[in-house]
Amino acid sequence: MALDTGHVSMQQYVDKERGLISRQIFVNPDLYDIELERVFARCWLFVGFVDQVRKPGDYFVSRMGEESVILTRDRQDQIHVFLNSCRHRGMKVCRYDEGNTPVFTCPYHGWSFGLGGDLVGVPHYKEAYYEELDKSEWGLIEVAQLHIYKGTVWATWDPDAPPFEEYVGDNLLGLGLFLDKEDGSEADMEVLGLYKWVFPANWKFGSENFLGDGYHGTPTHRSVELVGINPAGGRSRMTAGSRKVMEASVSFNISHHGSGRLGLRVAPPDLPFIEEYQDNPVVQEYYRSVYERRKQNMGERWRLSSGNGNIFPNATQGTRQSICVWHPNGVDSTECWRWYYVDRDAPDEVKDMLRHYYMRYGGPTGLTEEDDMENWNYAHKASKGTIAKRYPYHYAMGLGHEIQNHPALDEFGIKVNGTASLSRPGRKPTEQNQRGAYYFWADLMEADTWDDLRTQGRWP
Amino acid sequence: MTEQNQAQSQSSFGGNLNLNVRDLEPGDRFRATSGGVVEVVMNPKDGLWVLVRYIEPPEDEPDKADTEDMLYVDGVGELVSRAST
Repeated sequence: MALDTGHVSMQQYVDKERGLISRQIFVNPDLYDIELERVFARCWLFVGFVDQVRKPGDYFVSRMGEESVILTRDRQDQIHVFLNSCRHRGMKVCRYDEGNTPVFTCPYHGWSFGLGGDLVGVPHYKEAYYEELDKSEWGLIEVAQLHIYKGTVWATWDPDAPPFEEYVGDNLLGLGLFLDKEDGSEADMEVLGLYKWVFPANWKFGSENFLGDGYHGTPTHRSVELVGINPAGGRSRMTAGSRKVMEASVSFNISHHGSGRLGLRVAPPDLPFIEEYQDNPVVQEYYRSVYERRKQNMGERWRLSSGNGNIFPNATQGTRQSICVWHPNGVDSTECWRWYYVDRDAPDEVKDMLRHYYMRYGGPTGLTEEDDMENWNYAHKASKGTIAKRYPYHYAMGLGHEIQNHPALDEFGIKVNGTASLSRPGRKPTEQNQRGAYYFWADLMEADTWDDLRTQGRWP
Repeated sequence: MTEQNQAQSQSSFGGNLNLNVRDLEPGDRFRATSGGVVEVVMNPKDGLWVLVRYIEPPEDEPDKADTEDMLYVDGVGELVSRAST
């Protein structure tokens, strides 16, 4: 039985007119419990990569909300996601991180489940159960919906959740641009590895950082900019080429259904290839080739690219080719899983260059992510106090300056059903995406059903 | 084997403690404690189950001849032969 969350007004926590968000939504344990039911048990969540289950029997133990799940591929090549909990007494049926197996056997009493989740083995079935147990009713619990999008696996426990692509809405374009190969052809990624770590702050801090916070870069990451960790050498976190693309492009922040894209970019048609890997001819030639092939593969749409983003609630795309999930781990804790991937057909030199860059940049020991966590950890702790909780956070940056269309969007037929803000040219950070996420959070927390959102006009 | 040693080599539910089920390989044959002789088809190496085919069915279940079944560790009896020998 689901937790009876009752009807609780959530609008008290979001002041839509003034762009203020209560600290309670980050630190209140009662809201957190409701959130697990109404957000994490209903929304589409990122589970893993197809590359992690390439062969029948491959499995990867992932997580949805606080709960362990198994991503696997059965003998008919169907991909499944199951709750990692035996139906008999709840023990995890898989305690490895990944591998290949024909069955998942519970180590507690020995119930055994096939790759399709079916209960195939019950110890002493004849003697103890008198063959009366209907095995077909006691298979592993499977997600209600599963969607594979460009090599990534998403799932929801809610059979009534909107289809994945409708759920992602306006941000599907940005997500697709992010996931496809750098040369613009269909995504084919090779997972390099996965970092997992825990930090003492609410999960929303990580999500909002990537979904829309283009404001924190200078004060937070100044030190790493000075150190210079970019793979082409020199100062800054990113290569000179990446920076030039960003600065030359018209850039938009996109918010829809709680998800956000921090930088949907439209480059000028005459943007040249920028040489920046002169120290490594293989890498240099590869990126020159990528530039040319992107034009061939995408036509005029080669000019479109995507920066960071977050699919509501907690699946972040960012740091070049990486997906990061901010798993709720109690109201005061987040367990972060950050995957890095590369285009499968990239030369080994490129993969190696990126692997080193990723290690310098992100994860628990990456310089940039360390900077971020320093902020989240202290912000969370400083927001838990009796006095602190009385005062909301300010999210009004750019409020009232949202747009619904722009010539650069019109040129590519991009429609805005949610909201957009122009973030470049110039330097115009906005908190539109964070507002969008928290307004949607409040709406979803209040709504008993997805249909309620629609009938109340909260699902544009 | 003495009666006492035989008792010590059985688990409390009757399985063969002289045999680690994880070590069974496809083609290995053993007696099922419920009767009959089976051959290992596949071993998931979970230490609890093996997929087997009945070479000789139990006397009271002749229909099991040549059928496959998941056999629990408590049903694994005396080793008859190894595939590799």
